[in-house]
Amino acid sequence: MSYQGSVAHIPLGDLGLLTDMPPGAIPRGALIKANNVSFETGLITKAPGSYRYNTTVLPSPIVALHDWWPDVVTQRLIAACANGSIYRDIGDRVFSGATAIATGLGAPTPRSMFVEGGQETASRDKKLFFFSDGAAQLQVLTGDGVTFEEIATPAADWTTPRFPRFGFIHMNRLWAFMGQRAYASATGDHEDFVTGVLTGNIFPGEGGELIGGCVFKGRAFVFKEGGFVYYLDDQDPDSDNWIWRKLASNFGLASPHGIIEVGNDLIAMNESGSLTSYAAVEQLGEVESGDLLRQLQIEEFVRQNTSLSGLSVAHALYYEAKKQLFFTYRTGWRTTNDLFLHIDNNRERPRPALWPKDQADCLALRKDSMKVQRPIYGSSDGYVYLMDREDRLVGGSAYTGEFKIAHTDFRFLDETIAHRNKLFDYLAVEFLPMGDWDLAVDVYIDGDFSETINFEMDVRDDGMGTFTLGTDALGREETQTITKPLHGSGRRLSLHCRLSGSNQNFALASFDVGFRPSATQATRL
Amino acid sequence: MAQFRTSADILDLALTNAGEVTNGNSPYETQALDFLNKVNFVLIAGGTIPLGKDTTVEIDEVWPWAKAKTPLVLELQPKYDTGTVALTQGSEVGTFSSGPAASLRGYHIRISGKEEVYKIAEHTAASTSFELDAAYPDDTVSGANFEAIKIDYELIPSFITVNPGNQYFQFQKASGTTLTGTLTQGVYSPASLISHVATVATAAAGGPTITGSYSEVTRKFTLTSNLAGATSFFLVGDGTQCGFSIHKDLGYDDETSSASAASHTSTYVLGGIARLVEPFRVHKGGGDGAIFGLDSESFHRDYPLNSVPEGIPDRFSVVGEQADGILTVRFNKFPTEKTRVEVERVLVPRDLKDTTGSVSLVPRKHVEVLEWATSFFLGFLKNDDKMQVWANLVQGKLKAMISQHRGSLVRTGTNFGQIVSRLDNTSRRRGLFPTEPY
Repeated sequence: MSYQGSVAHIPLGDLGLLTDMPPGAIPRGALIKANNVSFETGLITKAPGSYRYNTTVLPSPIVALHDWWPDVVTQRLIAACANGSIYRDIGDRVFSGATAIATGLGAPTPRSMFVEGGQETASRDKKLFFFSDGAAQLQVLTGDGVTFEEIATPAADWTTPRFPRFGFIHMNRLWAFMGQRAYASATGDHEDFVTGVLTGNIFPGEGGELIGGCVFKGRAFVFKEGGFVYYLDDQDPDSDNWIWRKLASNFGLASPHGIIEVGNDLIAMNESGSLTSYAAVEQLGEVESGDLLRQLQIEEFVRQNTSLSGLSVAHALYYEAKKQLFFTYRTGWRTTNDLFLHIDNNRERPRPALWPKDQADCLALRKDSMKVQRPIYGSSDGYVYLMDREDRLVGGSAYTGEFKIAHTDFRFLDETIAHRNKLFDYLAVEFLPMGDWDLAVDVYIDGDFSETINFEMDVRDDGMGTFTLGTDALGREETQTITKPLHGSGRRLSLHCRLSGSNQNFALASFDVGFRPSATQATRL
Repeated sequence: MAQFRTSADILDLALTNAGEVTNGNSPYETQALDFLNKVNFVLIAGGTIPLGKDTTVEIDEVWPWAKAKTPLVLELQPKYDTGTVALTQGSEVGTFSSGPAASLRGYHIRISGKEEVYKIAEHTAASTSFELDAAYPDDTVSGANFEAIKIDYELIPSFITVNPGNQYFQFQKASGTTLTGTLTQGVYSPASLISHVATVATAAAGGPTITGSYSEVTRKFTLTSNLAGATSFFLVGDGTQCGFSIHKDLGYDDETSSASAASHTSTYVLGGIARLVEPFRVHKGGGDGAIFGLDSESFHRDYPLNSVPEGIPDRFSVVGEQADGILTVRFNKFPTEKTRVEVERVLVPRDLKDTTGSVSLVPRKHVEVLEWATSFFLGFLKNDDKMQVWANLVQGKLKAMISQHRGSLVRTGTNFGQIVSRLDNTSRRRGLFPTEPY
């Protein structure tokens, strides 16, 4: 006899975190909790691991990282630490035994940055500049050198205790910014800020100090405390006529690293902790319309689950190979950033999740052996981590991947059953086999925890546990479904899935909930 | 759940049948236990299990497993007629010429030469003064002969036996750590038993002093700890020795008390009776050896108080029943000497608890009826369309239980359920067990 009740199909992976709306109106499949999960395969999987790169720990928290290619074949990894030292790794993962190539750079923070320049003429080496957020003089590493040095000709007013805070390359010059003033090096020498340079104040007196900047679509933008944005009008062939113009006074930037270019858009972490889309602001004319977290309807959720104290050192990164965005946040009571807001941008609607597994202080991209840029981060524990690893470990330790669907009253099946009691009969989980371990599904009925149902993530013996040659099939690509009894009755149901074991993963496609509508009953308190 | 025996097992099965979790998180957990107790009570004490229109099952079987393990022993008292009595018309106060050694409270008194019978409402042992239950209406008498007779008895055990089946007492003086005291086997009055329990518990506690008392009014026990050197005082009815524990005899529940308290008073009265199941037995005086029950109206018509004779009684009537199962019976005679009477009865069922120490009297072979009936009531509460399945199962099981019980009586008895057309085909004496052949 076929099942006589109703069956609610809840697809997973189409929507990510979506919280800022009435619970009953949250669409099916949307998540109200998404920690350490990924949507890149179209299913919900446990977020990939992060591999500890260096075998020799650096002596201080890492505040800036750079994948340095002094030439087309040589790859170095440069790390700046909070102790005011810079370290260089040649690929042997030991950072020369944690021997510094620069010291005495004050106490840099994750606002520090490396900027590539040099090679002003074909015969010159590439150069890597280090801005310490104003803590020390601008440093430079020439080619594959082993020592960072102060640049040869700094501006006359770059003296203790004021040094340039950030910079970028634009129009063949290295631009550096200090206070409310811009400095552009000579075109023929990025270390020369005295001869043939451009200097000028940017709307002096307005707002606070310049925070950060970038070059987007060939135009230089800088951001000043107070929400001011300026761009360099450099249309005139004569650089003497270049002028800074104000673009906006309500587009605040939280941190020098809090801005990334994503496709045709520029996304900035703003001073309130949300994300602002430059393209949307420009198109729609108001900042509110360009608030990404508001568009994703997780603004309030992120605000409640993060601390503003980490905003000034926040980092943002776009992982182009997988169309994913990362933003570092800080949870309450912490002194370093310990949370990623991860946004999967593979589909028309971005799918956000939180990744508390990683404790990233600074983010960077590093080319792998196939020259594909992969995300890496430096942490306060003195290690560099390579992200997007197949194993489900962070630095060798397991982490929990978990998500929770909204408390649904199944009104998407029929409005009339929304307020009726449902007698729950079964829960079916559709998944790709991942291995011989159990996914725990916590069942919540009307908001109260009811039970935990374990689903083995390999319903058949696929050789992931014990493999018998000639008997077992090695690997399967089809989805499998496990159906188990679901107990209890109530109006609303929510499911919380979690998996914590080392190297354990899940790949869930959907839930099916079988239930029989009951009568309209008084709420059981 | 493997044993399918304890109340916890049955509850889990019923909750599972009703589609509920068994981890304690079901909102129907409390109701399930209530339903289980409701069915358990009806099965043991008799009543109805409403399963729906035309499907209600009436239970009126005397299950052998429901009877008390041992009969209640009553000691009938002979009359007291030593000395004389003085009574004044219009006064309830009377005077014995010599104080009776035992209290005559509840006795009836007949005055020589007078027709009426009066009841002594108040008297203290050894006292010459007593009070009637109303003013003495007759002419004043002094130095009159009298008979004080005891024909009303409360069906309360006077003694409790401690044997290997109930010789342990478990408690906690700190939450989570259960202590065990071992009682000395023997026969105790209620007061001496609770005193002994307290002494043993005090010794086992090694700290607080525990005292015990028994109330002749409430028929309940109280254990009190002075908490000296202890953080708490819990009674444990579901400990490792719960199957051999005295807590049941004392009327405490089959669970660890939910809250620490200096004093714990028992839940159930001593020996509360749900139903009488046989005529009382008396083993002297000839006759049938049985004292048969009569309804109150017939009893007082046939055996008026002013003509109650001396002799071995052969009739009784229940003249009082309290909510907690204390019955008062009246006999049609009073013996010339102390006489032992045995009373077979079904005790008031104890509440089942959601613990492994709580076990229903229902035999394991029938225990599924508890599961199914509880499932039915839960389904009813949840508007679950499966409830009719459980109703059918319960109805079928109950009918099978009744049929099996009666079948065993037929197979093991001589005349049970049979029409005997000639008196000489019956045994000479009436059997002592008209309803039970064994």
